Parts: sequence; C-alpha cells; structure tokens
Amino acid sequence: MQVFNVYFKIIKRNFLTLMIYIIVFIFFIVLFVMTGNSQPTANFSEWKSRVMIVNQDTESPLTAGLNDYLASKATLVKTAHTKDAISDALFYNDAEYVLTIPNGFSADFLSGTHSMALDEQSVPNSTAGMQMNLVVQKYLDMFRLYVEADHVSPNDTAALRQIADQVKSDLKKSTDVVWTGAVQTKAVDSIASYYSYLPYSMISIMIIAVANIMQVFTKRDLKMRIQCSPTRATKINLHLLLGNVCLALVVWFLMVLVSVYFAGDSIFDKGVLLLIANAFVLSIATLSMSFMFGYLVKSRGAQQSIANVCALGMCFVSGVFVPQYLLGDTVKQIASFTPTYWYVSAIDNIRSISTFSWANTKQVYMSMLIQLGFAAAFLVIALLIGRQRKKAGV
Amino acid sequence: MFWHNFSYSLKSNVRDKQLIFWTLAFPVILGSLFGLAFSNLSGTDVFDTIQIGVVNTQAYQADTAFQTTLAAVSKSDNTAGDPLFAVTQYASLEEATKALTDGNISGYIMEDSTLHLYIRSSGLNQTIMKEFTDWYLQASSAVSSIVAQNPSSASEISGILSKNITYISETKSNTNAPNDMLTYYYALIAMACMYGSFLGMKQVMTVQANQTPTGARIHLAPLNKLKIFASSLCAATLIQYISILILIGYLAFVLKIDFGNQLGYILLASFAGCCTGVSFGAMVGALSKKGEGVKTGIIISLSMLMSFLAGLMVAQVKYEAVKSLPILAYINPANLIADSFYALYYYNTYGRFFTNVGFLFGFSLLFYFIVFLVMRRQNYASL
Repeated sequence: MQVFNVYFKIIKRNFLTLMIYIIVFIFFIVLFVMTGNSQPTANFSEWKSRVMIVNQDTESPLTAGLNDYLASKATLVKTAHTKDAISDALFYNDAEYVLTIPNGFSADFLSGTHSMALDEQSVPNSTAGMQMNLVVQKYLDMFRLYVEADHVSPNDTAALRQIADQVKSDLKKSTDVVWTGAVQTKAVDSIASYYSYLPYSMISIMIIAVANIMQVFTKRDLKMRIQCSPTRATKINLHLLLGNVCLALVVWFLMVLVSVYFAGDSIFDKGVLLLIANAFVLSIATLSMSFMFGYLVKSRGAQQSIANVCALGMCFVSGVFVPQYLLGDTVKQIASFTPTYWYVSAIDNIRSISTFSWANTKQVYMSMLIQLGFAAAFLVIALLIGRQRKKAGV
Repeated sequence: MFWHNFSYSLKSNVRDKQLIFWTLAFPVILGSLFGLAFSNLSGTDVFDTIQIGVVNTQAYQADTAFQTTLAAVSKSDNTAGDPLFAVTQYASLEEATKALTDGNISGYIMEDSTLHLYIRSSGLNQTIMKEFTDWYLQASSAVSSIVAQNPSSASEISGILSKNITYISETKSNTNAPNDMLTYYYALIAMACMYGSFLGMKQVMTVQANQTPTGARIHLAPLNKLKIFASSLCAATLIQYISILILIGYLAFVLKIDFGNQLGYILLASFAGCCTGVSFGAMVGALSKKGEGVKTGIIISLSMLMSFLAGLMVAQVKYEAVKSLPILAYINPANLIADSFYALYYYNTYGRFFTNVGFLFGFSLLFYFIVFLVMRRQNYASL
C-alpha cells in the first residue's frame, strides 16, 4: 500500500492548489449556467423577439394600442436615443427589431392616405423581422378595418379609443395549438444545463490534478528508486490507478454536491439520477485520459497547455458549449471520437425521455457504455506507454 | 548594442515554446474551435421559407377562402423575397404527424369546425404559423362584431380587407450586416493581444537581477539599462505583432471571418493591441515582486476577466457590461481592442475606431511610465 499512501501524501501537499482549481472550475459551471440560454420548453409558448419602439409621433389611441400589442407579442427593450446606440443594440441582438413611428404617422394613417410608413430596422431578411412585420401589419390592418367600416373621424378620440379596445379583444382570439412533442419533467430540465457544462471543468481539473501528481512518480530519480524496489510494476500502476480513482470520485462527488443546489428536492428524480450516473461515467473516462497524459506530459507548463486545449477542444466539438443539434455533420463525426460527445448525447436523451422504460433509456446506457469503452482504451494506451518508457530505459 | 540585444532577445523569445504556445498557437487553436463549433451558426437568423403541412380534410376542401389566403402567402413570386410558407398537403392526420415527427415540416394545420395547429417544438417558425392562423380567427371576429354593430357596413368590409397596404418600410443600413458571432473572434484577438503580457513580463524579468540569472548578468555589464530594456521590449512587441497578424490572417483567410476591408486600419488596431498587451505584462512584471508563477497567475486571470467582459465566452456580455457600466468601454483594454475591430466592421465613421486606438496607445504609455517609475535606478545591495 506504500504507493497508494504516497499518492495521498502528494495530494495533501498540493491540497491548496488542487482546491483552487476545483473551486474556480466549479464556479465556471455556475457562471455558464447563469448566463446560458434556456432550452426549448415542453409546451407551446410564443416566441418573443426583442423589440425596440422609437415613438416620434404624438401619443394617440393608435400608437398606444400598437405599443400595448407589441408589448404582449414581444419583449420590449429600452429605447436607445442615439443612432449609434440603436446600431449597437441591433448588432448584439439586444434589439432584433427596431420600429420607428415617425412624427405625424397617426394623423396620416387615420386620414386614410397612408402616405407615411413606419420605419423598421432589423437584420436584413431575418425571421424575427419577418414575424414582427407580420404582427405590426396585422394590428394596423385590423385598426384600419374598424376605422374605415365605421367611418370614424381622425379627431374623434373617444371612438378611436373604443376601436383600440375592440382591436385588442379581437386580437386575443387564438388558434387551438396541439402539442405533439415530448412532455418533459421540469426537474431534469433545469439541472441538465448544469450537467451539460460540467465536462469542461471536469476535464480541466482532472488533467491538471492527475498530471501534477503523476509528475512526481515520473521524475527520473524517483522512478529509478521505485523500479529497483521489490514491488511489481503492475502493482505500482494499480495503486496509482486506485489513487486516481479516489481523486476522480472526490471531484465527481463535489460536483454532484453543487448540483444539489440547483436541483433542490428533485435530486432523487429518475432523470436526475441518470444525469449523476452519466457524470460518474464521464469522470472515469476523463480519469483514464488524464492518466494517459500523466505519462505523456513531463513539464508543468505543457500540462497547462494540454489541459486547456483538451478541455476547450473536446467541449467545443462535442456540444458542451454549442448544442449538438447546431453542430455541422463533419464536426459531429470528429466529435464522436471523444467521450464528451457521448456524455452530451446521453444528456440530450435523458432530457427528451418522458417515461423511464427500458426502450427509452437504452440509448442512454449505450452512451455510457461507449464512454466506459473510451476509458478502457485510454487506460490501455497509458499502460502501454508506461511499459514502453520502462523498456526504453530511464 | 541596441540591435545586438534586439536580435538576441528575438531569438530567445521565439525559442521559448511555452511563450509561443500561449501567444500564437493557443489563439489559433481556439479560433479553429470557434470555427468548428460555429460553422453551422450564422449568428444572424436568416429567414427560410417555413415548411408547413395542411391536412386535406373536408372542411379544408370546402374552405376556399382559407385556401386562397394560404396560396397567397406561399407564392414564390412574392416581391418581398422568400415566400412565408411552403405548403404540403397530407391526405390524413397520420401522414402529417409522421412528416412532423421526421422534421420535414415545422407544423401542420388541421381544419374541422375551426383551425388547429399541430406542432412539436416551440420557436419562431411555430410562432409565425400561429400568427397566421390566429389572423384568420381574429379577422372573422372583427368582421362579425362590426356587422353586429353596423349591419350596413357588411358590403364594404370585403373591399376594405382586400386592400393591400404596406405600412412598414425597411431601412437598409449601408454598413455591414450585424452579426454577433463576430464578437467571439474579435474578443479572441483581444485575448491574444493581452496574452502578449507574457512576453512583456518576460522582458522585465530578464533585466531584473533578483528575478533571473540573465538579469544579474545584464546588470554587470556597463551598459545603459534603459537601452537594453527598450530593445528587448521592441523585440517582444515585434514577435507579438507578427503572432497577431498570423492569427488575423488565419481567421480572415482560413475561417473566412469578416474584418471589413480597410487593411491599414486593421494593422493599426492590431499594433495598438500588441503594444497594450506587452506593456501590461511589463507593468505586472515590474509591480509584483513575487515569482513567475504568481505573475503568470495574475496575467492569466486578469486577461481572462477582460476578455470575458469583451465577449469571449458570451457575445452579449460585451454589450451588457458596457451598457450597465459605460466606463468599462474605456478602461478595459480587451474591450478597446475588440471594439476597434467592431467599429471598423460595423461603422462607416472612424470616430469610435480612433477613440479606441487612442485609448490603447494611451494605456501603453501609462503602463510603460509605471514600469519606468518602478524600475529606474534599481540597485541590488546583495543577491
């Protein structure tokens, strides 16, 4: 048990460094979850584009009604006052659609000449622009219908206000929507985003931590001393692996512990338990990957490089930062050679499951098995490298 | 002596693999990852005709008015570009459901006594479909309430409804199209520029006798320290500048990222960014008396924080950060760098660009001034 004990002595000595990494990276996940956008919901809700209204016209029942209607159909953002501020808002999608009501529009509209037009700015040919045009057009068509059918005079504010009310109530009529998509449990949904960002931190922590510790054992003098001891090499490797497994367990446990904060009571939900199991499988896979890097990488600086490139690289291609359905086919093909890809697709599966029958969960278990396959492959490579290094002499 | 030291520090910096990894290789790798992950995201949502289905029920066959309306919005010779819908007819509910499950259509309409909309996801396309079917119900509700109040108007209504008036005109902007995906790449350049800090820090450490053996050796030589230091910094800035140009070249020609086409201004902005990065590192190196590890830590965490605020991880962060704390636009070097490229791409005027670049050069001067104050007349009684 000497090797195993030494392993923990090293951890003790590096405790502070390791804890800093663990805390920083768990903080990263929390940050991502808080800034990340939400996933599609389990029933129909109207898409609300972000709209900015710049009203240069005088207040009238028409503009007020339009404003109200848009407020119900879109998320209104604060009006920007300079041209540059409006451009910036459009660039960063703070406003997807900017509607300017020019001065005198109401009077012109009510008089029936329609010589003035509202001014619209959006990303050219965007869907959001298309939708908002439809909404504005609808409101104005409806308003015009009442004005022209009732022959209302442009100055009759009381009548116009009544029309605005009627238009409002007419526009509340809504089609019956039949939802045929999956019905999700909310518990899984809210916590799944935590778990889908988890690989980045898990990989970073594991590579840095494992490489840090393994470095001690691959130091030339120490290695020579260990090799001339009467302990078998297989046993040494096994002990090292055991120590690493303990480390992985602790990291995994800490991450699950933080997720309890997001899950609350629903932590024992079947879907959530599957997510936790999936994270465990990933921690085993990243562990053996880190074990391999521990043999491969010598210098402390190179560790940082490898940890960064691996963690970011795997997360970008396999759908951790950008959802898998948005990735190109080639990217997905490349990604299927990483364990994280299977981790993320397992999460996507768990998300879409409504009842946890064998037929529904089969795919999830398959993904987990593939991750374990990766773990085994990395481990074999690591042991092979270890053996070759030994043969090549110290 | 200036050129002698210049050429040697050029060589020693280029041969520092760690340094080259962080200043050149890492940004290029990260850029490639962005390219891979964002390849299917255009950043801007471009409208595609929405594929919808209609179940060919008896009620639908009888409802010619609805058929005409549907045909009108799916006509391809629409002047406003792509038609709204492409309609496929399905003989039965089952067929339509299958098409929906397979993802061939965004949803389908089934008409019996009224309209029903079948969907399996919630998004902009579905909302537009609903907007459309809603209008059908809303218009008939309006017509019936008008006729109820004023029966004589019944004859006019169809005339009013069929009038086709456009109330909205689109302002075509004469700049490049907004695309918030670009923010990631501009922030990446900002990050790479700030990583030039490692170079700046190294130059300071090489001339400080208490930090490196090289520093001790240089201190022994009867030379003007400022001159030596300045030549090292020039070499560092040159290396950093070349790295950034390689990065920008890679982004522009391999990943096809749009930088606008004012080459001179792009070179100027990159140079300003490099100067700021290197001088920032020099300042950290001079101010902190701790070892290399701590200095590296400070640089990494500060440059990551700056890049985060410049939109490296989430594009909107750049906008929101500046909106809620306007001074960040001027005091965050990474934001100034990213914003220079943004201003070049998106603005027709150069006011914003030159403000940014001016601030960047100002920051470099300030950082170097601090370095100068700390390092001048530094002597070591004993090492």
